Amino acid sequence: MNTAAATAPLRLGLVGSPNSGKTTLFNALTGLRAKVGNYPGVTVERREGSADFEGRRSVVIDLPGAYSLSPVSPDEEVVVRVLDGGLNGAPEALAVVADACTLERSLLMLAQVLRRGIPTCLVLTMTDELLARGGRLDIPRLERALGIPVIGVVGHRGIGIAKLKQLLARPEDWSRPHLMPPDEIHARAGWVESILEHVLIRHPGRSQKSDAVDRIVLHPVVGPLLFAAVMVAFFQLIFAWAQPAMDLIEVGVARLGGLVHSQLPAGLWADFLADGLIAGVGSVIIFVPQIALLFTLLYLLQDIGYMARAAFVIDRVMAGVGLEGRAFVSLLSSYACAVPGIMATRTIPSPRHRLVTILVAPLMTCSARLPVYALLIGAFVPAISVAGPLGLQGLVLLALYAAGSLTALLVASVLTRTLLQEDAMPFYMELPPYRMPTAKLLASQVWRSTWAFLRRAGTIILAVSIVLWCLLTFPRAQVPAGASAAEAGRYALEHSLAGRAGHAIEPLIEPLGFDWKIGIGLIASLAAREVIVATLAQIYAASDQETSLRAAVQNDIDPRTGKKVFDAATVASLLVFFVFALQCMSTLAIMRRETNSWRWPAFAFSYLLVLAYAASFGTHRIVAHLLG
Amino acid sequence: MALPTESLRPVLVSDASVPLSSLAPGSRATVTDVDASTPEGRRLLELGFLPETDIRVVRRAPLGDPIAFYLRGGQICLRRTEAARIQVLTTDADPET
Repeated sequence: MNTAAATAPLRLGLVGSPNSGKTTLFNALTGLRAKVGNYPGVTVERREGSADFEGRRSVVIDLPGAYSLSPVSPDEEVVVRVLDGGLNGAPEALAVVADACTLERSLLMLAQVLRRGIPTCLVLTMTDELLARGGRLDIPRLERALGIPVIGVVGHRGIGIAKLKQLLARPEDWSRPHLMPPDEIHARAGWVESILEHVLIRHPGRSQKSDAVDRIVLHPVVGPLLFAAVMVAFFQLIFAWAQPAMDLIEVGVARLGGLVHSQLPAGLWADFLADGLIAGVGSVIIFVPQIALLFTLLYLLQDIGYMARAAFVIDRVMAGVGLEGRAFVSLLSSYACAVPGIMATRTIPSPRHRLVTILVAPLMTCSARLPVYALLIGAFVPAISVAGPLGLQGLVLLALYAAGSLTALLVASVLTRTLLQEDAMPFYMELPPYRMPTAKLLASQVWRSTWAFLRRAGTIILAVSIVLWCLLTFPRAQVPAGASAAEAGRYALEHSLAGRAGHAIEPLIEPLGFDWKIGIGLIASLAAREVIVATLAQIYAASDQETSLRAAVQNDIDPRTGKKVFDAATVASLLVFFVFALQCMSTLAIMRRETNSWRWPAFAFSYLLVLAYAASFGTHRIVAHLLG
Repeated sequence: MALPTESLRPVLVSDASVPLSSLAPGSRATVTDVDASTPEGRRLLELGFLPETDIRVVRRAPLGDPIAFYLRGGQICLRRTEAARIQVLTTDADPET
């Protein structure tokens, strides 16, 4: 009977609330063959995977998590639009995924789904947990009461999946409800109650295990301490554990570049391959260890159920600046790097909270600023003790971190009160029972997020790196005869487009105390903040970045004024500039991906540039004035 | 704790509805009414905060807000402002949990 349907793939939609076990089920049905994209015009992730049900080709669409079809979030709006036939047409069949323990709430949405008239079945997950908590459910009776197929599964153990696939192969044969459920919420609630009266033989009790864990994890005193410990560990792991892999990638990329230089005849082609293309690819994959690690920890904490508790503990603090608990994790991750930090905002359901978090994330002092701070503080801040082991250099570093973090909170509070204050979404959050995710589920989530980064942001980062390389290389200047390699490098850089741009912007940056050399460094640092160190080394024709660059910047004299280029005012001003400015194309690229438009990266870049300029200007004036 | 004057009044715990946000952790209550005049209020209904629903106040966050509730087989937390939209009668009876 379904010979015609067997040729075209069956489009099956999965509908369910965020903690219903929908993702586990999606993985069980599709394996790792998922395509990730975005729905047109919105920032909601679109996930589809191909599957084979008893020989019938199918496309499984993992619809965003929704609590209701009366939408309050972009995720829920997408679900409604898809079910109504917008966005590539409605699926031919639907599987509503529901946690057997919270069946009452899921049936409220099932009633709305049934009213769409699409063939629908109900998949009950966590049936093992229901039994463990003393609940009893009569599935055949539920089937009769609803009039649609109902099947119980334990997704992570694969129990019931084979039977489910059998069912999904023939949606044409599914029974339909005898009566259309009501639409109005109170009537719907009555409908749910009348059904559950028949089928829930025993309600599940509260999860004893989870309650016991919560008594410690959410204890008024222990809870916040544990929260602080988890967050410090989280931050440390992203910072420390990713470092060896990042060093390895850096060394590998440098070796590969060296190999190209040694094997190919010297010239433009070798330069492009080594310094443009290979270095560009390197600047993409250098993020992979941090991103993979961040998502591993993030999904682990989320799937276990701790992330919701962490947000519960810290929500009051974040509410003070107009954000919510879940934003905290993103901001913390941004201390390592804003790119994974911005990707972590996906756990925030409110689009407005999410956008504000994305816009302030670059203010958190990321690890790429450290080499810049290290160079300037090492060269210009005396290594004296302020009090005991407390050194001045460390205090300056701490002040830079504090300035960025406090500004982030301040900007968030201004944005939530002005620009982005409309469409407030109610704050509600499930505190699901603690559950241990399987390694397979974890691996698939991490792989998908990392791959999405490589595909969507990686391409932009690679393209911009190559453009920057061109700006730093062309036009090729005729190096004066007899120049050493270091001098030739300096000469070529000064006469490149970027070098000329550095000269051109000198009048603009002079009020900040910067000369053209710093100007070139600022332009080059768009690739990544730490690049300014290598660029300055090239300009000063320094043979190594550690000692000779430090000496070179300390002793550089402005030929016009006869004074040192890097005086206290300029150093302070440059440090402040790096606290605020969004000198990072990777952050811009990931903002573009996560907000689905260039508007917000452009806004972030502009407001942070204005902030950086104003703060640097002020700092330069004040320090110059204080020191006479 | 209750003022002395209050303790002199007859004990009628459930004579009038109070906002859910005013209950202490450990309290049990039944929903009487939800202010569904806004999308936020209607969402509370969709989450299961419907009239006649039994609710247990589980705990407050360490800083007092948000508040965690147990209802209909699951735990959901709301901020005080959201919980204030829900009117409840406190009950002594153990809800079927």
